[in-house]
Amino acid sequence: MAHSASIEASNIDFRGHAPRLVTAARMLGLIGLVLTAIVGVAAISMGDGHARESIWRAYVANLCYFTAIGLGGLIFVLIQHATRAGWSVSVRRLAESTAGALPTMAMLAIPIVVVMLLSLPGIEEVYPWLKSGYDRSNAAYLNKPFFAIRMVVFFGIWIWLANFFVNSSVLQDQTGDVRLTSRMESRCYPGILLYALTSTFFVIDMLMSMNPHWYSTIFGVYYFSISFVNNVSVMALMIFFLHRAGFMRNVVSNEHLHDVGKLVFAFTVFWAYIGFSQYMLIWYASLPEETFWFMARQSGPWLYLSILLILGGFFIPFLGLISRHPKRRAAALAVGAAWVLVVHWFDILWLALPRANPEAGAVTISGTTLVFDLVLSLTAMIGIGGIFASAVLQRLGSASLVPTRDPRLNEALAFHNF
Amino acid sequence: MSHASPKTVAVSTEPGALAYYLLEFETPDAIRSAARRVNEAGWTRWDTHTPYPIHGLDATMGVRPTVLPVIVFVCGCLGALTGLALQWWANASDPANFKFIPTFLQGYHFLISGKPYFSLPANIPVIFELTILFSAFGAVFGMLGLNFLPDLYNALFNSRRFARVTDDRFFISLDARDPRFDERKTREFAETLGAAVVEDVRHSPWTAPPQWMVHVGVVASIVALVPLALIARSWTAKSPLPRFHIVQDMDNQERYKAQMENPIFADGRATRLPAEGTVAIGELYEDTHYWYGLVDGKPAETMPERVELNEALMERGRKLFDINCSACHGYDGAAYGAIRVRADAIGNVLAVRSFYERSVMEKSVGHLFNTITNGFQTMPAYGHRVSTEDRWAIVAYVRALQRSRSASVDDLTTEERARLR
Repeated sequence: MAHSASIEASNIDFRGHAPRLVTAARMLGLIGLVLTAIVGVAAISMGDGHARESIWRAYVANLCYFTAIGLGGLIFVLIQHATRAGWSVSVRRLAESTAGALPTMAMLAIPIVVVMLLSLPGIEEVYPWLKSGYDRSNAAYLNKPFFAIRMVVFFGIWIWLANFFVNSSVLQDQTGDVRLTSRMESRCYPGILLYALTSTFFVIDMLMSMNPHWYSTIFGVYYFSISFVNNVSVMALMIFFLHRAGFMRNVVSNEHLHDVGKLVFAFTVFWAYIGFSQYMLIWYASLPEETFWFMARQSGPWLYLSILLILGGFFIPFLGLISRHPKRRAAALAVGAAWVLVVHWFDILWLALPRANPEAGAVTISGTTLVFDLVLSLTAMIGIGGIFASAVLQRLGSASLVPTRDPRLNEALAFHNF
Repeated sequence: MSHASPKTVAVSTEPGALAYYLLEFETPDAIRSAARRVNEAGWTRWDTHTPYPIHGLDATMGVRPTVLPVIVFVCGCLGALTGLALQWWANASDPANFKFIPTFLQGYHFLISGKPYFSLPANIPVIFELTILFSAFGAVFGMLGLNFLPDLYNALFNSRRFARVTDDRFFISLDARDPRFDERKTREFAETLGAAVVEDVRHSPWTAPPQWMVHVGVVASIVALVPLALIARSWTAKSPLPRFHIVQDMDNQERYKAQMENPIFADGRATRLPAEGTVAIGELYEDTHYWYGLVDGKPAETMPERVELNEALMERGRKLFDINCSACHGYDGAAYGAIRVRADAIGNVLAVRSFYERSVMEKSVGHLFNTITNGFQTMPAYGHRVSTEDRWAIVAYVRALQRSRSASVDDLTTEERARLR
């Protein structure tokens, strides 16, 4: 077959290159975490009263950010099996590699649970429901043991799903067994259901419970939109860098790139749609118990971040990616994808950092606290991001870059946009 | 796979004139190589016809990318602007500035949820919908326009062979309107392209419709105008009759309405009066002391028996006083409520009585109750909005306020007096 020949000609074996990159990413991650600790200690010793809170907020934000990418990979893989997609076989392993980083994210989530169980200083400011005197009306859900149990359940389900789908796919490389595909296709539907529930409650627990009495029923969907767009952006970047290094050239064509680009474009619009839906209902009803959350994000420095999100999260990628040409050029798409990833990093900070108070609306924080917030978020991003990247690269290097014996691979190689 | 060029060449479309050379191929590979050669020969008015999409055939044919996306984008932008302008015009434009525009086209300020007349978050859903609508129009009608559709006649369908294009054959049509077309040379060229068959496709003769069909058509067209004419007439005509009531539902029923005449009854009224001495449930106001504050026709000096004086009643009285009365009378009853203070500040006169004036102090509770119920001078009536029980509670509270300003030493217990010393 002509198609098999093109696979042979294409370099899809990343194994030799991975270990060096994995070590580098892991070193970077450790440096980031150490830097976070140093900056945190410096902030505390400078007498910044919010410093401890800032550390936890920065950590939780970045934990949610990189978990979102992994979750995006998981749902991408699940959807491809659910729709029995042909085109995506040649890029599916990239999503499998980000989903494969979820066990590592579980390890990185342990510190937050431990900090919560030990009630270390500052965590009560992040999660007010931990305070002993707090209104206990939702204590049946928001309490330490149940929180810890839920985290174990969520990450347990994700690791189980990710392992099943990634391992089955890798196993097929050796056996070529078509039944593996059938099995993945039959299990992806309950998997999507489990994903939807766990992802929604994960972000409710991690980010929405920072304001225990504030609720938005679309919050989980908002996080889903971030995770999906982040993951496809990471895939676009991976394709760019792998192509540049001479990998996957014949396997991932401009046609596949175009489709990945369409997903980046579509999900920035979806994100804006969900974000605006959330905003408009709260704005229209104008109920004080809901609006304070947005008031906090419309006042002080956060106002600029909100504007940046509207422009950078929607208008710029919308206009930048609407044409087919940037979507079919790896370098242009990589620029767009990188932009989207940066904007959504700020998006997660926008969810996690502003302190809001149901009575007072915005809580003004000092300039130093803001600076420490941002610096700690940056160092935590390097830390958690480095470790996440090392896990992804390790997955990439543990099997071929393409599911070589997937029954739909030929369809993917022949894929052509109309 | 339309491949039309705007350039027109005068070509006969008479019946029997040559319209196309139709080339039939049996495999996709055959049509692909033939298409490449036609393209290389510089043809502009020709097309390929296949039973299913063949990847890459567009490129082989040299089809330029369509401008449709640009049309859709422009339409989408227009839709967004239309949505924005429409909402500004309908809700935020000031009709006073646009008097030259007919009233029924003017905007109208409509306050919704206390939002500004022009507020972007509320406008976005409409902008969004119109963007989609206009984009869809642009896509559908742009596609039809670029393809010169709908096309009611195409000579290709005169070929019986061409029917197999939806089944298992691949065709290239070389259009006689192409500037390169030459009856003989093109035929020779076509025969070198590896086609299984090269067919002349000729224009079919124009057959006029039968005479009776023309007559029916003319009559039907005229009849179709009648309803429109009637609508147009009634639009401008004046009539004393009510509007057409097309959907009746159960709006007009054969029954007597209140106040109508009815010959069945002796008094001729459709409305029947209740039997003598009937009292509706909850409307027996026999206890004039309680309901009207009157004892033997005079204002009552005492609280009615049904009102039990206790702390809960006083608390209720205080709450309702603060809600209903304090705006003018002040929380303390000294007649300096917020409205009175404001009236004084802007130089208006608002006569509010202090509860501590002698004349008010001397009024009976029945009198106070009546004042609250029916109002007095500028004070409005509260009988319809504060329940009877609650009005008595207010009376009790007012009395307590008055008492608080007129206590004497005798009111104190011995213990309290002892403490004062």
